[in-house]
Amino acid sequence: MHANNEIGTIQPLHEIGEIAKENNIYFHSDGVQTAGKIPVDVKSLGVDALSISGHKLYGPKGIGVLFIRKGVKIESIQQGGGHENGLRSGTENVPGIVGLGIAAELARNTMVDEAIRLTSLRDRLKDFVLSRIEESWLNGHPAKRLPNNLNLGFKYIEGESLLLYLDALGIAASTGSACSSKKLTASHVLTAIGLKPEYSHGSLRLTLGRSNTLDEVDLAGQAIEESVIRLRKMSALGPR
Amino acid sequence: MSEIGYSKKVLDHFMNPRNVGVLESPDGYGKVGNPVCGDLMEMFIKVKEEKIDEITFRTFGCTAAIATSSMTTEMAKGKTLDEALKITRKDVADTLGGLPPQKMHCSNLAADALHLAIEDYRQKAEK
Repeated sequence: MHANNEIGTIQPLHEIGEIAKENNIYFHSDGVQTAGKIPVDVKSLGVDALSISGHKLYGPKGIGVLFIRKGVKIESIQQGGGHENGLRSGTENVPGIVGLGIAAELARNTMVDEAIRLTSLRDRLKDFVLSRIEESWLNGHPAKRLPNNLNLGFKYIEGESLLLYLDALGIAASTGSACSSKKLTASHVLTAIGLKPEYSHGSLRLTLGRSNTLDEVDLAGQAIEESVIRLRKMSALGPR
Repeated sequence: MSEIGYSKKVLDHFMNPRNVGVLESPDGYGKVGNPVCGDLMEMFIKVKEEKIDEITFRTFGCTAAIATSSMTTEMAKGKTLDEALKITRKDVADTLGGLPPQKMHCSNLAADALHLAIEDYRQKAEK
């Protein structure tokens, strides 16, 4: 993937692309998290294929894009009337396509300014939380990360319970804790970056968007502080 | 958050947990769970005339873990030790109005912690 959806880290696709090219390997990347947020130049990224999802750029749901470099042949995903050059038969979702096109145009026009705005809000929230709450940290790369993604870790508390307290305070977020997943296993991403399970359980992912304001970010920071303190008071991992 | 399917009672015990804290020099202490799994529970009891006079808990865990701990302390307070030992995981879950299926294992820990605290008291009392 171009950027990881949980911890926001942007991957070095150009370098990976070079390795793939040298070894005659087809290279597809999931660009769902980056398209519309940061520049995605398929030529310089060196990908043979890239996927984009409409709703991630404020377009409609149920529509996406698969970029395929000229000369790369792929098999048809469903057969029938031969639509989309025989690759995907089935009447095209025209309203979806139009909506996605407009969304892409709007994203392109606002992308640079939005990235600056979101990065500033994101870091404001990060700095507030990390400075106010002890034994907390950032998961993922501090700089090479999506402008809108924050993933924080807190010792001694569990993520699902944190989400519910935040929900009561009007903040929507997600977590990598085991108890929040259907499979009851902690986030495979956090595990892969070497985070101990007991610290993965205390992770909080927040993402910002077009409608988020400075006031909302400050409210979120206070809500997080309040909730973490509350949970730590009742935690079996707290000091005696 | 409604898709998780927590009952009103569970949410009440989660938002307003009863008997949170540590008892200094408890008569009985029970600890179950594993931070690696995401669940750790402590129960502290003070016993008077073979009844649970005071009981508190501390939990590292999800909403269900906190709610079941709180409910367990409420159910056990004032009961005789034998009555408290009879409180099962199912009793706790039922009194809370049920738990979503994937959360039932959280209710196990609370009842187990209570039983361990009582056993701890009895072992100490024997000495």
